[in-house]
Amino acid sequence: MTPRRLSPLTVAGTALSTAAALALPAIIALVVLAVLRLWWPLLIVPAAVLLCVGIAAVAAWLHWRFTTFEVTAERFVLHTGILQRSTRTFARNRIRAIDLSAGPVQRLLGLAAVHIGTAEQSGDDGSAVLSPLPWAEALALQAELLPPSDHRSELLGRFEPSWLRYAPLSWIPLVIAAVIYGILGQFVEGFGPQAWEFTTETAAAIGWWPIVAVVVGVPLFIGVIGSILIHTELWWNHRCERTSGVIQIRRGLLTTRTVSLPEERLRGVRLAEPLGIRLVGATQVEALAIGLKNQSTDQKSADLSQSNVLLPYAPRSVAETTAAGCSASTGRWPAPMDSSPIRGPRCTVAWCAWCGWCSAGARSPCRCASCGGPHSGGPWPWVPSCWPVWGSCWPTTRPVRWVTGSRRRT
Amino acid sequence: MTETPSTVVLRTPTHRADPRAVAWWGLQQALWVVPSVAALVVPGLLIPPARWWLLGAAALVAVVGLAFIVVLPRYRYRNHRWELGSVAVHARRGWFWVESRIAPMSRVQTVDLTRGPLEQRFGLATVVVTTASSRGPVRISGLARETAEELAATLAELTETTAEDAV
Repeated sequence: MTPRRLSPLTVAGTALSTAAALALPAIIALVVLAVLRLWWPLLIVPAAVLLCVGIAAVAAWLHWRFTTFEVTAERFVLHTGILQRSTRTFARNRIRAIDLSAGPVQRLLGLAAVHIGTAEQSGDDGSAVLSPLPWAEALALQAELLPPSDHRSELLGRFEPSWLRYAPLSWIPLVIAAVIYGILGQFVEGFGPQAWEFTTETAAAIGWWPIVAVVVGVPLFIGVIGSILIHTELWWNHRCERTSGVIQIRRGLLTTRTVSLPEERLRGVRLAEPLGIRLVGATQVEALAIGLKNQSTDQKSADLSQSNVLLPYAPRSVAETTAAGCSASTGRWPAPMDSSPIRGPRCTVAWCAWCGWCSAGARSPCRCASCGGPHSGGPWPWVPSCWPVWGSCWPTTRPVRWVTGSRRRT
Repeated sequence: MTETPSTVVLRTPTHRADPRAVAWWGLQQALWVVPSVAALVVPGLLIPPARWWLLGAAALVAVVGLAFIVVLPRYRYRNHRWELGSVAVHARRGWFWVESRIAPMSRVQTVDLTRGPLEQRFGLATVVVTTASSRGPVRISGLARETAEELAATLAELTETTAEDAV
């Protein structure tokens, strides 16, 4: 088998994306220098940009020159490294998932990055990234390594633009607002007395309420807008399809992403409902499968690639249809679905502490979902008996999960 | 007839590293010892008032460093063993903490053969076996290049023929 190479367009692509990344700082630098009437240093800026673009292009060429791969009947072999030569061999029956992604520049050039994953646990050990290949070749490679036997595809779920309304209810607006407060904090530290003087003077003129409203409202507003933009970028054009035993997710506005997951790898699905999302009756459908990134239930440590998400925040009825569709072949879907298929640990501390659901006697006996302690209501019905571990019990994701079967690859 | 309970003994893996690995490990140590000594000796020669205690420290670092260069690689070589069975690969390594790692063939995900610039000088290579374990891969370093290539090929073949059971 002859070794195959990445697309040589990677050199142009890297040069372009480096230039694009440097464009804004360069323009700002040029404007500042022009305003300061420093004509001589004006020449340094384009020279520096050219140098950076050149270095990036040479690095990309070296990467292209020293990266080859081969696909044989049993193996996928990747050769990489300039000084540290490395040969990574994958047995084809160990390949779990193949993701395609393409950033704006790569899309412009018709390229895609292919991520080949196994059941690796530690970072990038056990995976391979071919970046970039021509889009058609990337799709062909995906089909070659995870072959579909027939090509009828079944639509399992599709993103609706109206679902963007759920984006502000996630934790992202708060994170963005926190970042803005952090930056403001730095600023106020620098200009402390003056900033305080300015604030009190303005307050004397127009009162405190508008100021509080602006200080609280503006970062949150930016956070809300930001979360909608992020959600749009991640989920625009999202489709979740099944083509002959492979579940495939395509999505993305600027960076398109394709995740392929062989159905036999799917151990189950999880409906994740962070607090805000839960309150409006929306759900996110996630795949339970080894070899996918972002398995963490801790939302904050989850990276933005979200390759385990089958359907983003959607109305619960739609999400349940997709969830049932995705796990149809794994069988044993509890139907018809209750809002809580798990009877025992239905009542989480979040419910108790916040809405007094348990103390109202709705579903007793309740048990804390995390610590398992009984919650009898006690002398003070509004204080859960597992109060001391309240922090550790706080659920970001409701413990609703089905693990269907334990089918093994034979 | 009474059945005696079978006892499983963790056998010492049979194969050693290539003898050239001793020189490679020594050179790796030298790469931090020599600059450290130089960083003390040069100012020691240039700054007369501080000369004696700087040169003294250099001598101390040199003595300890020499032990790291000469003794440590030999000791490491004694501990460094590996073996490829039909169902698992076993590697033992280390000098202060000695660690044995056994990866069943059914859990092997990828087989890497890597050669750093120094290893290439010595004709050595490292085989890294990634598994579905969160403790990370099994590394067998200090192999002769031909041995490593053979080992990687055999491992790849065994992986293909062994059914996977990692979930």
